[in-house]
Amino acid sequence: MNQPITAQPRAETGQHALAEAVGGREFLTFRLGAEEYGIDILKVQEIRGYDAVTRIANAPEFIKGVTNLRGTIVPIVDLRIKFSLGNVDYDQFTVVIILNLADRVVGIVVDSVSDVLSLAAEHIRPAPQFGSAVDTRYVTGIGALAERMLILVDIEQLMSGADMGLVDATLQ
Amino acid sequence: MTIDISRFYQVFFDETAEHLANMESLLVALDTAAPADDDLNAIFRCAHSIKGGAGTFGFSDMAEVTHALETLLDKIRKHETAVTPPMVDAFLRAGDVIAGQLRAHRGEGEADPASAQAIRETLASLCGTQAQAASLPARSPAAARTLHISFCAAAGASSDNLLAELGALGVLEVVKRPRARKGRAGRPGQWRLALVTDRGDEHIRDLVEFVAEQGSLALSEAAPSPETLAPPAAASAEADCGYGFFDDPAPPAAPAAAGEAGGSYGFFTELPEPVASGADGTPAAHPPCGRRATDHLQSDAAIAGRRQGDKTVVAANADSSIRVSVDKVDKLINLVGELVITQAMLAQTASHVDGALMERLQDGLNQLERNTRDLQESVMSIRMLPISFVFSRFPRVVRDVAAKLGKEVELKTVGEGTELDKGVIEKIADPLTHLVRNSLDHGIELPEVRLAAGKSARGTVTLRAYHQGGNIMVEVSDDGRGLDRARILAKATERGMAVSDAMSDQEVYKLIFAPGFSTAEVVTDVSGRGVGMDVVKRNIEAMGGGVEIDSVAGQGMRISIRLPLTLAILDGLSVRVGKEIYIVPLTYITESLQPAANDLRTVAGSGMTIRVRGEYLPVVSAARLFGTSAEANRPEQAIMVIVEAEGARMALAVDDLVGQHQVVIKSLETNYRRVHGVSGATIMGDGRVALILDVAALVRHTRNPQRLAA
Amino acid sequence: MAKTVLAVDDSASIRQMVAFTLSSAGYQVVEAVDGEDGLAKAKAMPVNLVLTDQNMPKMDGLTLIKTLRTLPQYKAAPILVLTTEAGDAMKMAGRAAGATGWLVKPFDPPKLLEVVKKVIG
Repeated sequence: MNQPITAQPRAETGQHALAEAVGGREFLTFRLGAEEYGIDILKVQEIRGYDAVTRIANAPEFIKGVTNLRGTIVPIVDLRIKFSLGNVDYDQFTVVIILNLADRVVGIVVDSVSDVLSLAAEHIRPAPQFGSAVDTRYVTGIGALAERMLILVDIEQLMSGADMGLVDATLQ
Repeated sequence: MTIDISRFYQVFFDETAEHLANMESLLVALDTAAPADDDLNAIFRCAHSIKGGAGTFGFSDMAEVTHALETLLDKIRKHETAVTPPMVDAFLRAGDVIAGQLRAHRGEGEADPASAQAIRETLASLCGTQAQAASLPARSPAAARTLHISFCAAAGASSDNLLAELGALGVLEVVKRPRARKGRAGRPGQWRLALVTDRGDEHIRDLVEFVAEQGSLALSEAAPSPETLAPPAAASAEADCGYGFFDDPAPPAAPAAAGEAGGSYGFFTELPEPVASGADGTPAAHPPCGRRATDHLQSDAAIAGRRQGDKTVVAANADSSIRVSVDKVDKLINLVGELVITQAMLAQTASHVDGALMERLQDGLNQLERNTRDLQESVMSIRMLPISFVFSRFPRVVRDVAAKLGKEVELKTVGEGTELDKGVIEKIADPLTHLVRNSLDHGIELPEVRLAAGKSARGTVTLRAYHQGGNIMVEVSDDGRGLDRARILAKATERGMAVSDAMSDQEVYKLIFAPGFSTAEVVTDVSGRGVGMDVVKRNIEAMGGGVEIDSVAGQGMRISIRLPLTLAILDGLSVRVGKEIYIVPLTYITESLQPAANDLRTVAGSGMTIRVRGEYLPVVSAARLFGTSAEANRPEQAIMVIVEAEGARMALAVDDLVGQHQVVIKSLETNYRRVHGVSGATIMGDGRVALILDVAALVRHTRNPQRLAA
Repeated sequence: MAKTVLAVDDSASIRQMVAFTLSSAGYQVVEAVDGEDGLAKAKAMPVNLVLTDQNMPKMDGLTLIKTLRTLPQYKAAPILVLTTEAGDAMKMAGRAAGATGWLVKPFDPPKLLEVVKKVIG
């Protein structure tokens, strides 16, 4: 059984607003191939190892299947496959970020989790038109901090997009 | 102090729904020829309670309709008027209207003020004419009489207009004006008027209620007797506005006696004898209206009768039950489900432990397993409701539908106490309604047809529920004409279905569940356009249940529904396909077998069939279905699980049978989406997720491969 | 010590409202679902005021009042009867049964409190 590596309690939205008011927001950063991404820490429930995923027939390749997260069935999406980045291995170092989105809990597999960064407003630049692996529609800005460049992604929108295949495309 | 009364709405809504349901079942069962006093009182009490609550919580639309309802019911229970079938119809309609208003207040739809108005008028006219006929047989309705009117003027209301309007209707005498009170401006005081008029009470009531404080108006025809005008009674009457006291309860705090206490209450100056019975008290406290006194005695007698043997249909016992939201119960069920899984995981881990420790550990684990199972059963039972929750709607359905079709039908229910899961209860109501309507429409014959066939004119539809093994059986049977084998075959042929005369009766009967099949000669608005029976069957099968049909021509038919006890747990067979484990619900499995090579046949191009007891079934490779690689390279190495759903069978080829389990059903859709061929998921003893096969969908897919995408 | 009010009504919503209103004002409220229940509870504990509905299953309010008046501890205790009509007949019946006073339904929390205060302070 994998233990959560870190557990981030879900912060109150009030705190979130407070952080924004003083000009800083916290991001969890992770790597996908050569790129470094940042997502709103408030969307992150916990980080776990990759463990016992049950495959779902006829699902897209990047949907690895479903796993048991303390009694709920949670789908696992491998973003490395989704964005065709690098070689895809599953070993004891493979990391799953469990996201707590508006209406569902989803796990994403990434190359590695780096750290949690607080970005002040002046460190966040508007998103340029450039070629990242992630569709620029979901990129909210660029975080520039010393030598690092973070692609800030609206993970909520990204995961609920139709091409992610997590939601029934149309109600049947 | 202000108290937000909206906090009590939910309880009021719930109890009103109970009263309505109770009233309906009493009304439907009421024998208008010889109504039992107990029943009449119980019906009255339902309306009375709804009115009381509706008034208190400010739902005036409901209060108005229930007031009209209560008024007529009151006359009936006091035997001032006899209950008639049109009255029962009107009461039932009133119940529907109130139910509609209730839904609207709950925020589920719109109320229909027009229907409320219509039913109030109907009730009023039933009340007016009937009451007059019963209580005033000698008097012409138009005859002038003296009406004694007493009321308290609502705060701020002017009485001048009222006096003028009443004066225009006849001869008006002001018996008493409210006293002007020092320092109490605006407090209501009592008016007493005498009016000689030929207008109806209702007309006067409407006029006066406009200015009167709510509930303070009293109309009577007889003159108040001298006794009632004597000081004690007068003092009480003076305080006719909301509340009052029969004696002075707190002299130091409220030195003001009777009249001074203000318009909204007053005191009696003498306390009656503690043991005074109603009869003793009557002469001294004679009410101003002679008729009312009689009413009172009658109602007292009725009350006494009720005391002796109340059936207590209203099961609103606050002490022996609590209301809990289903969410809380479901959370508990989920947690217990987790506990079951954890227990299974522990047991699995412990099986690898050796030595002396093992024995003690095993003892503890066995105990844990028993406790966990007991706990799970207890928790599941919280969600169990008696099937009477569904059955109770049918007396009304049968009554209405039979009347519409001109048939005489008696409904019998057996085993109403049989309990099943709330989720199943909710899902079984519609299919059952359809089956009952179908029996009424197609099964039960018209009275003359029945008589000609040597049967009683009155047909019977029976609803029966009982336990059988781990299932609940619900049967709908009738003593009607039964299914007509020849006609079903003819119709099926006409519809282009593959049929033959060699089919067994059972097979022929099952055709009525085929899509689009209807045995009705005429499409009626009762059981629909023949779209029902296949949907009924599919809905029941979707719950993991099944449908059986029996019929004897000329004697009736019976449809038996088999249902699982609960939707949260199912008995499953775990099967291995390659390295993966899937769960097949046991209800669909007819048998599992290792095929002999010569029972397998390849059908040109389209796949493989297996011969099972002389029948050729399609073989579906689970590995191919789920896009994995099977261990068994050749079909004869596989295990065939024969499944049946929606009347069709197929063989599912798997690598191995792993075991039978009771599994807790988890939704895939909570965090993911619906997956075709999968009805849900469960967590196995090792903590892994296993998918539960949607056998019905797989069978459909096998028959119509193009439908998988649908 | 808080004064105790026994509220007897078959309607759960009315009972709840009465209980909430009076307990918010510092009274101790005991609820009963019908006359029989009310009688049992009145016998089981000392009650300063009985507030009873008239029309209830099992035992109606009038019978409850009459029965209570035969008990020594309730010979003089204040008992209010809730009536749904202002009609004199119902009040007279209440008086004959031995009630101290009446309160017409529908009533609102302030009126209820006013009456109860008047009777038991």
